[in-house]
Amino acid sequence: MRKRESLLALIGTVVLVLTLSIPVMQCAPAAEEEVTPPPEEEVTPPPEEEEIQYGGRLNVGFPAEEGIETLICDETWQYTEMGCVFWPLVYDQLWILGPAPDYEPLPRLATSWETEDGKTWTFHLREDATFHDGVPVTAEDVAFTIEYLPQADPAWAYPDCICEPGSIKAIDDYTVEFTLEATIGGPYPAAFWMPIFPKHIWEPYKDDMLSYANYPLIGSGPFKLKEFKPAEYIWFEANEDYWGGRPYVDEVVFRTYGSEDALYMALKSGEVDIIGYSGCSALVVDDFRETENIEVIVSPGIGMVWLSFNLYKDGPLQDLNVRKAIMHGIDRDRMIDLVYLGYAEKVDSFMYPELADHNPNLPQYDYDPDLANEILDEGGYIDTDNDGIRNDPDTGENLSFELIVPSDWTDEVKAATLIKEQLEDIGIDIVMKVLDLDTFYEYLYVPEEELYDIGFGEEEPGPHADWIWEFGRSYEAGGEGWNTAYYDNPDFDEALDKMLAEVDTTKRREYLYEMQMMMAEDLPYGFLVRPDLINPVRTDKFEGYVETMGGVSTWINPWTYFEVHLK
Amino acid sequence: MALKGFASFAIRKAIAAIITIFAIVCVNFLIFRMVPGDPIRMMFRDPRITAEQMQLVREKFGLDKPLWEQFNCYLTELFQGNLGISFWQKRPVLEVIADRIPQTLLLVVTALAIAVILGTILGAIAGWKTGTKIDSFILGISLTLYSVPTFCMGIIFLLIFAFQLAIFPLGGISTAASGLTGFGYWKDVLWHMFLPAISIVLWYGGEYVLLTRSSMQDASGQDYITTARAKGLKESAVLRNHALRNALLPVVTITGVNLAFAVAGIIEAETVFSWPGVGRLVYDAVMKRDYPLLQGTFLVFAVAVVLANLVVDLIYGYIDPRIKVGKSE
Repeated sequence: MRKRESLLALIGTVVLVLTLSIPVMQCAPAAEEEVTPPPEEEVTPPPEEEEIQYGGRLNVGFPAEEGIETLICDETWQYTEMGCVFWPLVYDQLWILGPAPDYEPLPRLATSWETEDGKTWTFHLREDATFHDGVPVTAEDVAFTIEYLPQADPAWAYPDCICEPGSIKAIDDYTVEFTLEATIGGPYPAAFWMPIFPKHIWEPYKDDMLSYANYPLIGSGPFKLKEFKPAEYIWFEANEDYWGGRPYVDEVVFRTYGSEDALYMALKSGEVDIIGYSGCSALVVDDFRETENIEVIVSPGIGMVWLSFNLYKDGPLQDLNVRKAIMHGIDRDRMIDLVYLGYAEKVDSFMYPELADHNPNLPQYDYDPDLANEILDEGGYIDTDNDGIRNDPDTGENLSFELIVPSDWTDEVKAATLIKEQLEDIGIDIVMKVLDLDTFYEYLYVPEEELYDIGFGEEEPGPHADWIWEFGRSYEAGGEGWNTAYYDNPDFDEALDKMLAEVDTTKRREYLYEMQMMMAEDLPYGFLVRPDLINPVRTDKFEGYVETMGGVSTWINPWTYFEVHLK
Repeated sequence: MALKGFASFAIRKAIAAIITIFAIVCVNFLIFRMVPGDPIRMMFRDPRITAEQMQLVREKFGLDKPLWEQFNCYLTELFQGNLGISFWQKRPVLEVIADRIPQTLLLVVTALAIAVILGTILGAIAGWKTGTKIDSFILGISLTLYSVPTFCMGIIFLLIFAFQLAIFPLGGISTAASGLTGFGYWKDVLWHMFLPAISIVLWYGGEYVLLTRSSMQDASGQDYITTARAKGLKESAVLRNHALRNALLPVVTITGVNLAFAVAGIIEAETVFSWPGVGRLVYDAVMKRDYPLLQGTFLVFAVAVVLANLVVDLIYGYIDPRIKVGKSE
């Protein structure tokens, strides 16, 4: 009887599902026809010799938590995935970081620039650039942006755009001059990665730029913002009047999906052509490889993962030997295999190994538990109470450290578990503390509050990354904030300042080599891995996806949107 | 006389609701002050923010004042309809929530209404015909649906109907960047609404079936049913006028209580189906630790539930013959 009941229940469920789907199947095609987006064949014939076809709509999918809800120019433009990809499409910059492998500074709104001392900079603007409302882009707009944007939000305040008060001048309509507080040497000019705002629109909000809703959005970039629906989509269209010629695609649409599963389904079904920033998880890569019309592009990552050792906190971590032992006790190859499924490489510096400024002679901390044990034994860290954990010779306490990691970083949470397991073998106890992202950063950025011993670190320095070295500037030299390790080395500070101010490339490289060596020897940060970026892209409609470090769509790679075109 | 009695009953209930809401406001205020961590520091991902800048923001949001003063200020502003500024979206919380409420109402009210009606009818039939094949059929389906988590059901629906069969969209409230307006747009919205609505209907519908069924079973064994039958009434009349009327009372109660739980279901359904409503807003606000926004959404949810319960109470007082509000005086 019971059996029959459950059988009936099963039949009931099946019938229910079927009856539900039948009427649906009947009405669906009609509904589908109604909502079909404007035909993508609507091609504007371009005056172009090459046979590249214009037209089409590129659909880009983002998981909802990577999306933006407003167009306010706050730190979401720096720190959220959609935020930092969307604005380079609609706003032009003075100059732009070129694509891989050279990552050269390329002229955009500025055709040329010069500086004699790295402090006073002159930019010459092109005369044919206009904003989306038809108003020409002039030196006034540039001066206005450089003056007010860095004040709008600390996220915009970088040494290469913080000027001496009163020094920003529009010399004529198309020449701007300003004097920085710091000296900027190196291969890249000042004012990196900065949207140029139309003064005629922003003037009333200059003292509190975050109070301006910025819709309708007026920029001067290759795309115009057509419609913005928070939590749904951002709709861009090609700017026909762009000085450099319109982009190949007619439209780009950024769409958000509530879950990763829905996003992956959207890509497989062709609803989106690429994933907007983070690519896909290594877990699903084989699935995408088998899907028709999808090509998987694996790029070296832009993000670096490391451990920050809290050197402020009194205790055994302040002993270099303990840090060395920890690094030798971590099997990064295994970590790459197990956590990143092979899609990652080992790193030893903030500098990417393929860049010329990377010091090739850094000491390596390969997995060697015997060596780690030896170092600890020699340092006097012996397990005196026979509980399997070594003890600090000074205090007798267990060698136990709190490791913090944000719950959002799923791979790093796994890596932390692995580290805990591996360090047990060398008699070090790790207490894992998984925090929400904001609390994590709240802990990490104030080592003086001693809320952690070891913290995971992850940043995307990018090829032009002078700022990443601020992670090593001592608190005494004004390094508060980014220096999560509380690293304190006057020699490093000196080398850092010299490097930042050095105009000569060879000399600059020497300083960079020196800094990397100091960091590798002092181990305030234990560099771990650089996860690859796995981008499944659809190849049935478009081609010409541009690949840089970090994949086909990142804050340094708007190139895909400029170059992608119909097949 | 009866109307007067009902009025005083209604006023008593309304006063109780107001007191409840006030208590919620207090708890709502305190909860977010008890959370560890400095919300201002959490507002900024950038570590280079200086203590001065943080202090400025703290003053801007009034977080530098003593707790009592903050509460005072919160109440004053609340009465003027000001729920504060969202940390994350940097615009008024009320505006942020108001932008999302219509979408949620559209989905939830529609789906819950269908769930209640369908669930009650099927439950009544099952309860009336206890032990028959129809009963075990309906019971089987309902138990299955009721025990499947909304999230799971949503994903399965997406996989089957949106992905494999491609007859429904993969999420959202309308086709992205379609440029549709007017009738075409609303048709598009309905098409997008189908899967999330069905998920909610099935899940909550199952619950109502189970509830009405057991309540109906209780009622059908009562003496007044035997009496009704003895009077020679038609079976359908006994079902409608005697059994169902009594069996519905607990269903009405649970509808009110259920609304509170529906909030959780809505968050799940909206997340799975990328529905831009208040549920997903709560999810995002939690992820981004947007305290004013969370405080605002909690308040809106709480007030909605209290008001719904008030309405249910009033309906109850009206339909339950045992609550003789008119004759108590």
